[in-house]
Amino acid sequence: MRCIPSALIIAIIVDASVIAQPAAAQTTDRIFVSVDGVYQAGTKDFNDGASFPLYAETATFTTGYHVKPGPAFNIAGSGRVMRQLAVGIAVSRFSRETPIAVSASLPHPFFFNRARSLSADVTGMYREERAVHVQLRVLLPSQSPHFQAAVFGGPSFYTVTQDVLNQVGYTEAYPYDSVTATNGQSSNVSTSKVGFNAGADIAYFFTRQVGVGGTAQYAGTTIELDSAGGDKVDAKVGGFQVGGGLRLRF
Amino acid sequence: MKRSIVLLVATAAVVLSLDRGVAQQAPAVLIKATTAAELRTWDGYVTARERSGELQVTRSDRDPSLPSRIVERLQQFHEGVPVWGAQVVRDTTNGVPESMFGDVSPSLSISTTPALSSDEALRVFGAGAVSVLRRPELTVLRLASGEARLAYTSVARTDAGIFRIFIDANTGAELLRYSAIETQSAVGTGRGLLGDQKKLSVTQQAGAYFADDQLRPPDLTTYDMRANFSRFLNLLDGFVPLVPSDVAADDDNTWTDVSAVDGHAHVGWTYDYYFKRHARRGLDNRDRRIVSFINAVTQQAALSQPPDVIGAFVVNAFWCDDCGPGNIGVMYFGNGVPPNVFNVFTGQTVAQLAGSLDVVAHELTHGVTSSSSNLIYMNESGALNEAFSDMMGTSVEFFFQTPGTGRGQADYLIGEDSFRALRPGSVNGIRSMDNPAMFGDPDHYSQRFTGTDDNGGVHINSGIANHAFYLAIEGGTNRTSGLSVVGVGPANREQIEKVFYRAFVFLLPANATFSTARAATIQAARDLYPTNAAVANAVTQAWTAVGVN
Repeated sequence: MRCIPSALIIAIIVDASVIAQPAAAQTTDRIFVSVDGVYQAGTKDFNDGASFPLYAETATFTTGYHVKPGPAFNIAGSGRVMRQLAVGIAVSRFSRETPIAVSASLPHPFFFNRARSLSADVTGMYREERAVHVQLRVLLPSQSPHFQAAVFGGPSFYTVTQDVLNQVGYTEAYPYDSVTATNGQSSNVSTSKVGFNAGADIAYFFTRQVGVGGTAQYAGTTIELDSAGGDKVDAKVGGFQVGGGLRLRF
Repeated sequence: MKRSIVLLVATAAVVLSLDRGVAQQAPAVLIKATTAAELRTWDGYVTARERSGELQVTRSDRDPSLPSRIVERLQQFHEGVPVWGAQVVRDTTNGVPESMFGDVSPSLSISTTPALSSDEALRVFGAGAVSVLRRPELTVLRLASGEARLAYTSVARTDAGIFRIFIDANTGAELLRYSAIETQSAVGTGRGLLGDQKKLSVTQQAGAYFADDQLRPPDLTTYDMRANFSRFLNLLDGFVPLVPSDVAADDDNTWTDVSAVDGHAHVGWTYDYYFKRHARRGLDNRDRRIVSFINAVTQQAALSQPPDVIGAFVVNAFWCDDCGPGNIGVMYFGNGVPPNVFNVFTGQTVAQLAGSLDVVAHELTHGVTSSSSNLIYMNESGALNEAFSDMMGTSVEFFFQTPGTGRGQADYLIGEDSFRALRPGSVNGIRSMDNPAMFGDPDHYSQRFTGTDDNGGVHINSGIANHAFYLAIEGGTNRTSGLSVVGVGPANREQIEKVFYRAFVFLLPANATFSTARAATIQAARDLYPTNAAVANAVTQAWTAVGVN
């Protein structure tokens, strides 16, 4: 939340610099729409873990969630409310598989300090990030009616659905010197959190109303997920996105 | 009109019964709420009683399969006394009930002041039990007749089993009992003779823990005679059956009895050794039941026992193939003597024999022998029988302990962790495999005992085969013959262990001689290691060095 005012300040500063360029051409369109395919860069890996008593010692397991970069979908619309200022809303969706690397240390039932180790990769776990971005857009003046650029920023309202591993499944049999991983228990947790977005957009219009454009933005936040150990674990959401797509203005 | 009479009679019954702490109560309220309408009704009912303190949350769990759900267990109390079995289970999401199930008693009017004190109740429970496993707790018991009684409840172990028992808190009369045996494996801990902490595979039943291993394949149980020597003799003789109350027990699973800790753990380890090293499943390779006895005579009581009892049941451990109910075959580990008492002949004191891993493995190996080659326990075959137990006992030590000369370390002494030198000049242990003469035993066939004592020298002449086993592993020179042996080396001890195991378990006849043992072990070496002549050579040289051809 603390980042939101910063984004607004950036926007306002940019806006002030734009106003200081009176010679530039001004658009008269009032509605702007963009439909983008973007690539969300960077990994958002996070770790979870738990410990519990087992055979008179403490068992531990850690889970490493690998949230890979990947494509996302972004639709934005805004309406001009002042000469170079527009307000709008964008929605985005990012969905990726988040494979989990599990490692565990499980005490031996007969002997102290002879823990059995277990490691496994769990697939088929997914994350979905859905966000609504409220954006204040500053339309930058352009010498050409074909070009249009804007910077924007504002709060982002994230809803994240994440598959999490609650329990590591394993089997053991006499003489208990090793353990074999089996299906664990997972659940699908959903949580919401407010973050921020800030970025820039540039478009080239072939016609008066239709064009193509590119965008680069950062949008994200940090959510708290229920830890398998009963606490909360932080997980980053969103990230730097770059992409492009259709531009419309009316 | 009829209803009024009934109510009047019922009220009178309640009033009359109040002084006795007995009341005919209204029927139990059964709660089964899953629909929105039912939940609205019962949520109000439960919440009102929660606010009054009649229902109290005693447990709250999150269901792993439904993380958003919290399941609360509410216990009914009557004037601060729990009502036995009266609970409501409430499943909620963010505090909103999803379902509710319960069984509570409305409008209890029973007095909660007992005539019996807790100590008096304990005596009542103890009168009919071997031991009382829990302090008596006051409760309101709802009988099948609908009556509610103020009662004490406890768990007691009797000759017939372990039971949850309720007695009237005013009269002491028994109201209800049911079996409290709910078997569940557990792992306990305890410190053995050497102060080392061990894990114990035990069984949890009715809140107590019993030395009954549920994790290993066979039924592996340690029975605590609790100094009841006459009962122990009756059990050995098979005159009386083993009962659950004979099993060594502990209330908190932190075991403090040295013989129970070491005996139970070491028997398990020996089973593990046979399984891992030789792929053998226990005594008969079919996971035959393994029964151990401890504490027939305490250390203090040992001093007042006649010499034959001391020799057999105090400073001794044994395997008895035909002992026990149904001749199941049992092991026994004596407790030794107080630490400041020593044998004037050996200068040794004797601690709990179960504390020596090699002693435990030695006795269990007698069971293996009796189930396999069944070497006749006299003369040379008897000496081979004893020797094989020493070989496997030592092998188990090296399997689990680090080599060394200290207590709790693997070496070629037998029983050194229990038989300790107290007088200057005396030594630890009862036999030596690397130097049998240290205890007056022969290390060469030419010096074998030929008398009739000791079943024809079964413990004495075992030194000859023991020394051959030692030389085949470690190499060295026999002190009598002066012949040297190139052993396979400590890193390859597994080879010699497997060779002697194969020979003594599978190849030897019951009346084998030393010479037969030589031939069988050489054959076993060739069988197991046909491309590694060093093993057969080591075995051959070892037997030759000890004078067995």
